[in-house]
Amino acid sequence: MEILPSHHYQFSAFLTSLGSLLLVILVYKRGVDQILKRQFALYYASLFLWSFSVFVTTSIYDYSISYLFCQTTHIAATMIPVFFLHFTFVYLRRSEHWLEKLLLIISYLVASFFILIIAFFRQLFFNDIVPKLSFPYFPNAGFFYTPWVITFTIVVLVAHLTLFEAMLSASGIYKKQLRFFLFANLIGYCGGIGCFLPVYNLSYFPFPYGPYGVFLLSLVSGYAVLKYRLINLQIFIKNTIVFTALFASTAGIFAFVVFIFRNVLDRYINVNPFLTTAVSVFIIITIYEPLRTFLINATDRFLFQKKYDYQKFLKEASRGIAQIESLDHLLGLVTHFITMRMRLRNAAVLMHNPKTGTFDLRHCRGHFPKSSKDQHFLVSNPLIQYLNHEKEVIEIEQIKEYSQTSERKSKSRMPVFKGDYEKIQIEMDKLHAACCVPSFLGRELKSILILGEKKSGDAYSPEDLNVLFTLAQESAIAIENARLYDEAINRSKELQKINEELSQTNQKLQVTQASLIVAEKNATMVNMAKAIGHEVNNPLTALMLLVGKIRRTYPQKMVEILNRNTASLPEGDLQGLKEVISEIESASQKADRSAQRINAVVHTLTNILKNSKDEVAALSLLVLCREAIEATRFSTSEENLSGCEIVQDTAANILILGNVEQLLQVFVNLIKNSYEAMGKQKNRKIVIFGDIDPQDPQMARIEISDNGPGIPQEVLPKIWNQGFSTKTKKSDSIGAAGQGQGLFVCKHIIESIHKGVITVESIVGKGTKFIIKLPLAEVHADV
Amino acid sequence: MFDALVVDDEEDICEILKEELGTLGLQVVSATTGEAALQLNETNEWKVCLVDLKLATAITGLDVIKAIREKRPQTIVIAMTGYVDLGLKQEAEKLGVAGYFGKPDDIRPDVFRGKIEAILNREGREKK
Repeated sequence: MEILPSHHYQFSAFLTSLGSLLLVILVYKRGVDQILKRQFALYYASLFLWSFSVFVTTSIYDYSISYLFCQTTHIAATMIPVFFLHFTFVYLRRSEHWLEKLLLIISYLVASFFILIIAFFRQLFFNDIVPKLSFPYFPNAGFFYTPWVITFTIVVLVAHLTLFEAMLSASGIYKKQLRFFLFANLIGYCGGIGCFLPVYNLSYFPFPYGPYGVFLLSLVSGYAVLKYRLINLQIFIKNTIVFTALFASTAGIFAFVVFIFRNVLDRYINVNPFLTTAVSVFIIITIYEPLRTFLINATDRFLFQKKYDYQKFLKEASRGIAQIESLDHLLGLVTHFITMRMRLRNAAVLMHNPKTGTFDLRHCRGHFPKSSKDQHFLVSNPLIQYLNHEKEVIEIEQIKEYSQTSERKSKSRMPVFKGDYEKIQIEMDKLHAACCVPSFLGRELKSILILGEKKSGDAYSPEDLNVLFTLAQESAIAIENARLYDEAINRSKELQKINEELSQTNQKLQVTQASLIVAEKNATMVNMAKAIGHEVNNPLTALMLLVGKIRRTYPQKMVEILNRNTASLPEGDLQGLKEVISEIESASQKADRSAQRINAVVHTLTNILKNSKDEVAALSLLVLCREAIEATRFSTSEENLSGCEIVQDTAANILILGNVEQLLQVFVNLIKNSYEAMGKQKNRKIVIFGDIDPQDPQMARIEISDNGPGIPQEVLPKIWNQGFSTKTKKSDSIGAAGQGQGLFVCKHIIESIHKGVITVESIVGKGTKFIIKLPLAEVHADV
Repeated sequence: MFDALVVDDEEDICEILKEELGTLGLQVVSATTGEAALQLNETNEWKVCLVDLKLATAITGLDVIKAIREKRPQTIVIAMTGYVDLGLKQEAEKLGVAGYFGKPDDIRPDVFRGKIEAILNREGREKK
């Protein structure tokens, strides 16, 4: 069978009418912008009317019906460019400008005029319809036909020029939409104008393929609608398409099988029509399922960009999210996952900060403006406000549309939110965001996913946004958990730090207190020594001088006087006086000795405590021990270490490096402790041993041991603690007896000040031994 | 006119030291307060002065020594103390005392005269 031009016209016109009708229904039912979708619908409705009329005109062999459809073809063709122009203006948001308005009014008027002519004075428009170029009937041009074609061309040209100009200055997805739309229409009108050629009996190219161009127009527009959301469609149209295609294929197969049987096989064998039907039904049933799967996959792949992958995407993401505890890690994973899978330029997360109440940029990935990295978003920020209010994904193209829609004050399907969409757009631009996905926990906005453009430049499909929204809600709990976990960890870290600081401060305080006690004790002892030196030494000096004088001078003088006057005195008196003189002599001698003893004691004390002001010097260990014993005698006052045997076993030639007063304080403290620990027991004995340390020849070893009751093992480690005491508390002043400062201060003096070591060994019932190691003076002198 | 001064707030000590210095052929006068010592310092040319560092009055022994050393730098000054305070001793040494006697050991009659003579001889040699 030969394929005639009329067949091309019939076939392409039929397809075009089908496509246009589908688009009209789709857009009208699901479009968002009222005016835009109305214009789009009108435009494609006229296309449908035209293509359908062309189909009928070129298929029917009845003159009057053909003529009628020829008229409708041209009425529709009159409307097509005008609706195209109108849609273009609306789409470019120029329909309110006076020039465009004027153009539209003129176009509509001219179109109305032509429609009137075509409808009621068809003889002015057509020069009859005749069979030609394989068409049953085709019109010849009448009087108004050529002006009509010219008008048609001008309007189409204006629309295209407007589109082209707008495309040059557009950007982003808008530019893509425009490019597609312009491209589609260019092809469409090239083909469309080609349709007029037979009217003038011309059969050049594009004849007879012109109507395919129109078909392409509806096809490409449909693609633009679906993929680039030329008209904002909010649903998922897959089922419609799959259903249509399935229906068409089923019908096609049936027709094909019947055709084969009837026209090809019929010549050789006689086939029962029932068998034909059965075979086609069998084939249809066999291929139905695979075909459906194929169609679903195909629509998924070409129109809905791997929707199929998204289920896996969600599953993988939630599996990963559930396993992570640290917040940074988790946010890193989420942003990484989304940027990798959706192939985004950049992504970030805004987290709600419960302390400040702001939303802080927590995790950035990919190219990101540096200035916004430290930015904190207040709740009053329009973007945050919108998300809080609408609880929906926000997308830049949508926002752009809303911001322009609100300018027009149209009653289209706007969100309830009455914010400043322009400001939202600015905020999103600042973040390089193409879309923001809020994540709620309960009713509270917890975090916002900031997603940049796709690397492909494609827009986010409604499906994308749905998946992202789902993912955001699913991750909300995990993110909140991670945040709480992090917070807990941080808090415990902080507590630990504070604890450490506290214990450090405590240690410092203890050392300071010990130093204070050392200083205070030194001062007390020095002051005591000063007082003794002044208050005792002066009268003692007088006493000693006078007693000495009495002893040495007066008895002698008296004896001299007596000797001169021996004769004048009675024998008994002489003898008596001599006895008195010798008694004076012996008494004064005793008094002198006592004064010497007082002097010796005072001398020892005052000499020991010279107020050395923390100076460190080489000290004889022997002398130090001796002085310590003396000082202890003095400080145990009336008891004077009585009833206690003190054994000093100190090597003579050992010089240690230290401060006299401080070391004395230690020794006195230890001796006194031993003495007091022994209480009233019999056979009290304190041994003070001193020599070079056998384990370390650079140190002197001093042992102060008693045969007292000893210290129980469990108490032993505590004796160095500040505040440990077995004595009853007597005074509140720091360092007083019973305050438990003694051994603490001793340890401080020996270990912190003198860089020595002090330890204790004790056996209950046998006695206690304090061991002190101090650096030798020679060693230091050698250095 | 006196050529020796003893300053000590203990009168007994003053008497004994006066006696001891007298045996060296010096004309000795004593003062028990810093004020009295300063007054005496105005009118006498001392050979030697013994000053206790600790005086019960507002003017201390150091003040007295300072005044004597300023007015009569030739004078041999000996500081006395019942208690060896290293800080005080240093200050006295800065003022240029010739000796530093501890009480009571250094002023016992059997020691005192020898010590004084030794200092006087030493200082006398140096001046020559």
